[in-house]
Amino acid sequence: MSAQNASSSLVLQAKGLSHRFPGGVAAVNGVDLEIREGEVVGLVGESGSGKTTLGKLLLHIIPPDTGRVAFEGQDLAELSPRERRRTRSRMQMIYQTAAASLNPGLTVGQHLEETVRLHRPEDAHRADALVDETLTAFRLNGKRALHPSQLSGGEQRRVVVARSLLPRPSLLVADEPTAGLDASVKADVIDLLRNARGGRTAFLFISHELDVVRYVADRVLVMYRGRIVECMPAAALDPRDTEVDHHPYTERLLSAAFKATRRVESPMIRPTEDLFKAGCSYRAACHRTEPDDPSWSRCSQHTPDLIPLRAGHRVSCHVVAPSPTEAS
Amino acid sequence: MSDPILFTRDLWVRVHDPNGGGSPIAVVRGANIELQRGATTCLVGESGSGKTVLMRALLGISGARPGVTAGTAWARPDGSEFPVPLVGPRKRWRGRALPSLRPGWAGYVFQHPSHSLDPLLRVGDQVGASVTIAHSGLTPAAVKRRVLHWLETVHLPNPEAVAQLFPHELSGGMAQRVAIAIALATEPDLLVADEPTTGLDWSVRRDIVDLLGELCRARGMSLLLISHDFQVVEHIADQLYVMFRGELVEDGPRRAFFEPGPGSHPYTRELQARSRALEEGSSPPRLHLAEQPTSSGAGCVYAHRCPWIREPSPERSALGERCRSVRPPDFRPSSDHRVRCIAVGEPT
Amino acid sequence: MTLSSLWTQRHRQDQMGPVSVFGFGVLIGLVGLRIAAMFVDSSPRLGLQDEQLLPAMAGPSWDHLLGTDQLGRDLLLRMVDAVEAFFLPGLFACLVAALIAVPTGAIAGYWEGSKGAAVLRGLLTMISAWPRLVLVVVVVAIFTGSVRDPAAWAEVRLYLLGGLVGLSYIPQLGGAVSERVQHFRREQFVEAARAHGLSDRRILLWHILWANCRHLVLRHTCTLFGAFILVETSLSYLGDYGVPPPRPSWGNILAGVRHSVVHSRSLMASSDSWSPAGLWGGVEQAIQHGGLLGVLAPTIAIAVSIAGVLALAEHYARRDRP
Repeated sequence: MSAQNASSSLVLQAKGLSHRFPGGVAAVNGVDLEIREGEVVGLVGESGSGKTTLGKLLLHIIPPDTGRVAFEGQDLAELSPRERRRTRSRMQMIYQTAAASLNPGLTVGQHLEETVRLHRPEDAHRADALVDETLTAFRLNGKRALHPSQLSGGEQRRVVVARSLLPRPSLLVADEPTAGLDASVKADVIDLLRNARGGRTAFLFISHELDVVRYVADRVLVMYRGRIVECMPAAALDPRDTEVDHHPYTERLLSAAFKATRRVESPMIRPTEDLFKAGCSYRAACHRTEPDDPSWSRCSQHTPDLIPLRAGHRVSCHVVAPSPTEAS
Repeated sequence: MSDPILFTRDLWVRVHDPNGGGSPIAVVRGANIELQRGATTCLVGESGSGKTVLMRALLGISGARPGVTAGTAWARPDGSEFPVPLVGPRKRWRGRALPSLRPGWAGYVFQHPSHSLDPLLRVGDQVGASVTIAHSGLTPAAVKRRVLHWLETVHLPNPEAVAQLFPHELSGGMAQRVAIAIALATEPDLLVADEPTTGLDWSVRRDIVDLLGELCRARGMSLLLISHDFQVVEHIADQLYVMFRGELVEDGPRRAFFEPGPGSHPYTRELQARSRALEEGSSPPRLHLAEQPTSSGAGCVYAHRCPWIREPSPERSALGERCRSVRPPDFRPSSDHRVRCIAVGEPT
Repeated sequence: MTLSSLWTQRHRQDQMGPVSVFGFGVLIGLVGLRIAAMFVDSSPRLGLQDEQLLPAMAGPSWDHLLGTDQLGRDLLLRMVDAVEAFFLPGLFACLVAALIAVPTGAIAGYWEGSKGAAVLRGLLTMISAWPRLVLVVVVVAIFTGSVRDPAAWAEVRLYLLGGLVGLSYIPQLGGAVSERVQHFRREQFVEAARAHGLSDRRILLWHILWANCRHLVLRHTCTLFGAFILVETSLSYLGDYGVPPPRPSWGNILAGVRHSVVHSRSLMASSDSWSPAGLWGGVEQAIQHGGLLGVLAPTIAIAVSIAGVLALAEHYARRDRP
């Protein structure tokens, strides 16, 4: 993060976001998050960690149980439904499954024309030309009259990306935009995302692929069972670098890379206890602590805070980053 | 020295136009594959290149699409040769007393374990069904013993409990392990894994690939792994086949791909560069997907995307036309390494 | 020419098959006949002021391609004129059904679980619980009984019939629409559209109803139109509640001619003993007398029209892939 970035204005500020579903399957538990103008924030974690839910909470697609989201200084909860709809032209979301987030009954052209009319009324008179320009920019020439099911996976993905970038949003939440794509098409979609935004759109890039996130993001958040457990500059997310300390969960994720230098076995137990109970949610699977350790009581009774390790790097772990008050 | 467990000679698969119009589309063009016994063979290529169709054809699994095949495929599970009934012309074999392959001689692991597991059956029963393919007439207790053995083999903790679960109660990684246990339970000589890591969490990707490699080494089983991910391939492959638009453009042993040596196919280089770029966090090579391949079918299948044609160096400037019109011959940098590329064959 | 080219092939089904061609052919034919019927006037004459009465039940000739009916009227003209009896009332039936059922079904499906939706759903169930066809006949009968000159009110009665048949179809159409809307409401693209900034109204009207339900509605209205042809011609054939006799309907043409044919057949049966030659003679006589054509023409017209409209329904059903 450059100094200029640090001083630039906040696009989104979330405080204490929590949400739980009736079944408690995927939930978000007390997340604070700030995204600055033009910043690319990566959000990594395994499936079921609550990444997608967090993305939807930030855009108020799901209203949070507790916590506040301020988008460009405005509290989203205080807006009327109509005002919130208008705000959506500046905050967009790309859903994980491109095929399912396009209307099977509309053509590619109809999808984009609708977006132009809705979000760029000033360009409505040249909607037709604008749609053609967009199609060319996303290399979808000749696909205008086709329905989504007639496109390949990569093309569907490009339509979704084009549609979400057409309103020129200041924030884009991209939920696994590369999942299920071939390596070559994946690189292609990433490049489109990076280039098309022209540096002004801030991204929340949600993915479970650490290498993709490292390549795309400026800053990376690691999520485990509804909590942000680590926050670091993207360069720190290197599986071959053993110098940098990480949260035990991040360590395990990093060790899954084929080129990783250290290997942490992933436990195959499914944590069952309540997410909202006190204590570190990762302790049952943690390789840094055991129930016999003297530190175990701390891990099981106190929820660790995000403690700064160094500039821009914070970890929520009693072992790796003991809080200053305890250390003293 | 060559001891293949499965090999094909000039295998073609053509897929019928579902509406009957036009000639069948060639999805696999003249594939010569040899899967060496006890080795891990990887088939690499992007989606739509015909990897899965080829795999289905050479194992005689009739796919959802009606196919026409030409060429031959032979399986040698225990040294004697068996013709593999190819998907299309079953009739050719009818009426002859053919030695048939042992059921379950090959096991399959597919992508998305959630699709290959029966959601209504307990894990134990599904593995059990597989056990009875290899051994008929076992007592329920014996079947159960074997089920637990296989679940343990794939490193599932507490197999007794896992056997009682339904597929939806498993995480993605566990479900894929169960799928592998089901494939193993027929005690196959050949294990085929078609994109076994797509649809799984990135973090369990390596676990699954490592498990497959370890099982094959321990049991002397041959492994055919189909993938689009060069990182996976680099991790595990002994022998590689690179497929692009129905053609095997390059094959060779591991060292031909990952050690410096004579040239490899530009498509292989593209795949490698891309996977390396992600690993190192550098910018991946630009992809020219926009250009449509020539429809005539003549020339090199990769010509429309080849960077050597697109941005020719002075010494390669004459290549473009020939690559587009002449079918490239096979060039052999070494006895076991084959590249189908004019430019590689004529070093400048 | 890789597998990706197979992507497009599913959509080749969208091309017109023989069923679609037949359906649209019949539709164009019916529209043409309806327009022609505006310039044809076959009914009020009845030989009152006309000095040159044609021979009754004449066989086909160049002047009268289908011959004449039992009162000596040109059968072809009457056949054409009869399209008036069901065409606009049939469309009216479709309009009534669509205008009520589509909004009802859409609201009941989209705001599933709300109070209003529950009421609408209850309404649909209530309508579907009634014995609808009997009710249609009863209402038409009451109407006929309550006006002084039923013949003068025949036009109104046809539209009343259309409206009632349309109403009786509401549960089917409304149920189908609400089920479809319910299905799509849960699809991810609806959530994505909402996240994109679209209003519920736009999502419902454009993304769900227009983009994904129009073929369904067209399919049902075609079926309804076919059903109305059947109801109208049946009632006209039976007499009292359909088209009153001076005005033609395929149903009452059939009824009138059938009566004469049965009559002449019974005469023949009494004169001749049953022999193949005698039977053939009877058939020949019937053709010459126009009786057979008089039976065949309306029967075939009814069958082809209904089959055509149902073929159109099939055409839309194929296009309608949820």
